[in-house]
Amino acid sequence: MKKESIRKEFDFFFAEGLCKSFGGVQAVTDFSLELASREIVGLIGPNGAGKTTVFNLITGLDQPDAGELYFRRAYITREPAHRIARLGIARTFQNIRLLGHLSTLDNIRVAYHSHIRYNLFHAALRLPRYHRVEQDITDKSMQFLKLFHLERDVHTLAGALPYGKRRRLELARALATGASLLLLDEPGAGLNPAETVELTHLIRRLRDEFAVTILLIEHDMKMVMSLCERLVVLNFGRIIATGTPAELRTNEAVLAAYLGQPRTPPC
Amino acid sequence: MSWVELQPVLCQVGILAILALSLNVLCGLTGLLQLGHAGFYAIGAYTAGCYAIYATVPALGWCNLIPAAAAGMAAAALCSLVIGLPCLRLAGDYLAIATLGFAEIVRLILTNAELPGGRMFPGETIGGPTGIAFTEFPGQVWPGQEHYSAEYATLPVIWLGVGVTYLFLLNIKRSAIGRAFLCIREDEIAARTMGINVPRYKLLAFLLSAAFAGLAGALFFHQQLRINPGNFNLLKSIEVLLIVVLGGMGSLTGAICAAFLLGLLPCLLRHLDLSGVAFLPAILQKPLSEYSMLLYALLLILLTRLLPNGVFAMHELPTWLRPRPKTSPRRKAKAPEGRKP
Repeated sequence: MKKESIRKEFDFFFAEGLCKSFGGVQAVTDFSLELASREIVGLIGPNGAGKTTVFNLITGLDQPDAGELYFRRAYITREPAHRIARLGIARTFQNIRLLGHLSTLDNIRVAYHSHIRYNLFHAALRLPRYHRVEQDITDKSMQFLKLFHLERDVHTLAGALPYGKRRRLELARALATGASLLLLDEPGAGLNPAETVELTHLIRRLRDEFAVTILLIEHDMKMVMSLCERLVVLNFGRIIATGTPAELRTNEAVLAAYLGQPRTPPC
Repeated sequence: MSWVELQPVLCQVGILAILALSLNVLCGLTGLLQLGHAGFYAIGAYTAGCYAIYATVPALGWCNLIPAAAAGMAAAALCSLVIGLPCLRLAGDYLAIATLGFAEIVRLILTNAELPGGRMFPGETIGGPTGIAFTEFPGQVWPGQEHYSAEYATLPVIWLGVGVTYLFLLNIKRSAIGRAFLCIREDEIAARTMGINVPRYKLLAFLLSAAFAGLAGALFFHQQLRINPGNFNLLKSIEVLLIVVLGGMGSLTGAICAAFLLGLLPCLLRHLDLSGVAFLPAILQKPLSEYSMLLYALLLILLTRLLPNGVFAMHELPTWLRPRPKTSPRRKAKAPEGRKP
């Protein structure tokens, strides 16, 4: 009964009571989150708060000990990662996971994997369908590369790209999967202030043009405050606060988590 | 070196090339280490052998090769499914050990199992340590076909097999399936988040690899007409792996070139004789072919030191032969259309 009512209320994405422990460490405890379509939500917290574990649970790379996940009216708890990806959740990684020995173009073409409509024999015998599908995804990939200003590096190996371009390529690859929910794990890490501003505009533009929902982990507070419509703050695996950036700026629990508690109030 | 001497060597090179191409799908493209390729090779060869003994139709002539090869491929593929389903959960070195164990089990079963001789060799047994020999055709079974020989896998046939294998696997490498294999090799976690069903694609790579090893086995039987379990020992698996590493993990052209190099090497060494060299001690005055295993080891050490990615790396052509790709996009890309939510 409860599941039915949940489905009606949050038809885009809903997580309830996620728990995950690694040995004796309770990495995530009772994590609940709902996302509406086309929202930009930030997931913040000090180091080791469990943010990346939450991403792993949502994308199916880790299985939760308890809790439930719904995505677009489908029950996705304990589904394998590739099926969750096919349903439309894509992510980027904190330490970029590109295919270093493959070209930039091939890195994007891999993302179309779940849209390939030919089989082994179409490929091995080069039947017309193979050519049609490959031409189609190559054209689409080129468009993505152009959007992300990577069109000059089509044949460069991804491992040979400079850092900023690798970040952009990973973002392009996540988007090219056709996902409607993007999980970005520290997209701004290692970027200089100018690049961060550029990235902020790019993320907002992606949301507007591709109608994706974005959940992002970020430590750059300037970027988080200007970009996110809503924030969720984690500490020691628990949600300590949620709200708009303006509300959280003065939230005591958040300040305590980031800056520590004052020992004695100053007189 | 005369053509008569060279011809069987080139046949062997062709069979080695098919083995290396098939292993390359698994080791090179998908990045799974396999030390039991000889097991699938043996299954293909013995299946073709059993077909020849029990079911061959002399009237069909060389067409018998087609069902024999199909049966060899199917049997090897079937075994790969049985082995692959439990073993592909293992990672890295553990998979290599498991497949090595599989190949040794196959070899030991073939050494110990004996089958009835059927209508070809009534009252006798085939298999066991002496293996299967089909060099002469007992005339009394099908009168009028006394001079029948099952040596169908001649040089052109074997190299036709190499060509078909090469094109088949190259087309797969350049398709979404090949990209999925490479993606698994590069980063398995990224592959999972791209929607690639990793266990399924690993199994597919295992299956493809085994099926073409079975083809190599069937051709081997019909070229030699005499096989025994000793043909399929661990050294064979390592030799094929060495070819794949030498050619470059993931390079199909590299595998064929390396098969040529390593296949012709013993033949060339046989012609280089140290016995006339006066300053060497008597014990070293032998034809160089006596040192072939030593040279293999030396080659492997030098290779890992000088060319860790193999001669061709994962590409079809070495860097200095590859045309420089154009950096500008092939056609003008339009602005991306907004996707529907």
